[in-house]
Amino acid sequence: MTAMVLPGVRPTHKAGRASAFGLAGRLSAAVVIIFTVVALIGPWVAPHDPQAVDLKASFWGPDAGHLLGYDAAGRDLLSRLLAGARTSFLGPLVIVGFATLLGSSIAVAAAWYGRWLDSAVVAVLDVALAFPGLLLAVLTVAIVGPGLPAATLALGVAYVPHMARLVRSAALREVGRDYVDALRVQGLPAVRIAVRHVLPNIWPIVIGQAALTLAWATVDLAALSYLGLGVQPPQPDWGVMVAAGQSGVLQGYPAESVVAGVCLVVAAGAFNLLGQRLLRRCEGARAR
Amino acid sequence: MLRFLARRLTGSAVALLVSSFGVFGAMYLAPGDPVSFLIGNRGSTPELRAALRSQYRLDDPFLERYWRWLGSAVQGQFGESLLQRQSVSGLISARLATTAWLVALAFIVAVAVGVCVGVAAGRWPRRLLDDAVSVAVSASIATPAFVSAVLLISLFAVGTGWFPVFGSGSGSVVGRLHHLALPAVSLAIGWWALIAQTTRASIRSELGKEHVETALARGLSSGQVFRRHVLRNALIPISTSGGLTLAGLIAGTAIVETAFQLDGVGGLLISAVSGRDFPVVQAVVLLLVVAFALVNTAVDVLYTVLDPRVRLGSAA
Repeated sequence: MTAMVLPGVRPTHKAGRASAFGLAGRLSAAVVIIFTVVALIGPWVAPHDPQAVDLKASFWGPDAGHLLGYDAAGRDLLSRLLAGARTSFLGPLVIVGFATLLGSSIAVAAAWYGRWLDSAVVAVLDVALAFPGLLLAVLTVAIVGPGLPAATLALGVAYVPHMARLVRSAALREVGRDYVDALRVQGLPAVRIAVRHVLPNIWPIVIGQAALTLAWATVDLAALSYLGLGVQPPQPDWGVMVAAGQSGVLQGYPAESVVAGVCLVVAAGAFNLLGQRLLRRCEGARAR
Repeated sequence: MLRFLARRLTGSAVALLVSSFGVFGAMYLAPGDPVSFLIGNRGSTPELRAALRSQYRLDDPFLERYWRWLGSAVQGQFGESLLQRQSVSGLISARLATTAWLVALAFIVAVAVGVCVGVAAGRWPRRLLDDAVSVAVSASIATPAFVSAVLLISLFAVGTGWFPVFGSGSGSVVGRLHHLALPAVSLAIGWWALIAQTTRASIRSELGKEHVETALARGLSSGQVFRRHVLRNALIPISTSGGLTLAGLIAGTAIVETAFQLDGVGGLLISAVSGRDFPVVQAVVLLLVVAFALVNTAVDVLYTVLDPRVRLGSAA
């Protein structure tokens, strides 16, 4: 601990922290960790080749070696689910990483320099926020052509304004504080104050908002893949699996769509809960 | 009041103009020659290339082209579809009714369910009902429309056979409602939760205010205080989330119409993107952007009606 206690991020008591986070917060953190591990190692622990087609096994129910059964083309569902975690779960991480980096840089720069730069940023954000993210992504895909890279980039750009608006208001509050003036008087370069001193103080808010954005990104990227604009079949992905399973649904075999859909709901729900808890903890810390 | 409205309308108009420029200019951001982009992977003949060059007047300066495109767009003219031998405006107007029905039904479902549930949870906090509502809200927000669509089809169309599997129904109102019931519910699922959350929060904060205590102390019945003092003040944040919901529902039609194979504008957008039919994409995106701008402006105007402080604040 440094001798100087920075305003805004006072150390919280352990009990207070646990109650603000709650059982649901810890549960969703556990889900996020498990899913991340699965996304990293999924393709290697998959019991079968996720692409191996066996038309004789089409829609076969679960058996000893195939815990979830087969899809329409006779591919092992569990293996496809594990392999699909990679794009479905890591794709959104790339999107949110990009949006967070760009959004918070713009926001901190706007808050730091103020005046015309700040007004310009606010005006651009207002226009950009009126444009729904999914629509921007669809327009981008229409130009660049479908595929995971285009979908990821488009959604990454689409979330920048949301991130920038929140971080800007937090950064404005922080830039007005005395310690920033003190560092400026000491002659520290602006970039160093912004990166080493301002950013660490608004970091909890950035992380909380990033977790919330992860929930949207998971749903929106899967939606693009579902619409045939993101990840392309036969590559396994949860959004692709929901779409591919729809023919099975009509024939009375909903397993593929349902398991992929449930994975998406659990992932998005965990991110959403985690983000809400993190942001609530920031507010609690500020109120104390 | 008038000055506030004028400022709002100017802001929307500028945002619309910038968006239209983006929608038009997007085509020229594509790698390569715009003609090859428009042709895509269709067979390229010299006649087709020449026709496209003259239809888009690619030899004119960019700003002149944009201005002409905007002029005809304002009159509802977007040229010919590249995939179907039909005018873009004809394709869209044939599908507008389905989308309007879908959005209207989903909006009614989302607002009715969201406000009722939110009022109940806000009025009787910390009961079993309140906990059940917060679990249901979290689950609904995390459920994407295409997942709920597939689940609804599986349960209520294939499983029980109560509803048709796809198609938007035509002619009678009853047929429309029957066909669009499942799509509307699946579209509304993510959004009733937002309205319920806002309603519960705003009712709770109103209930804790002093004017409520004063009204109760004066001997007014709690039902009367709730209806006339709490609910009315809570309406302001609820109307904002209603506007957000309407905008979100319009954007969501693309997914739900694809899932239920409805012949609406959103489904047209997705099939045009897959088929690289760019005139159709431009027109539908512009139409959706105009719809968003209208919804946002309408919410702001509603604000001044519901909350006099907004008017006073702008006059000062």
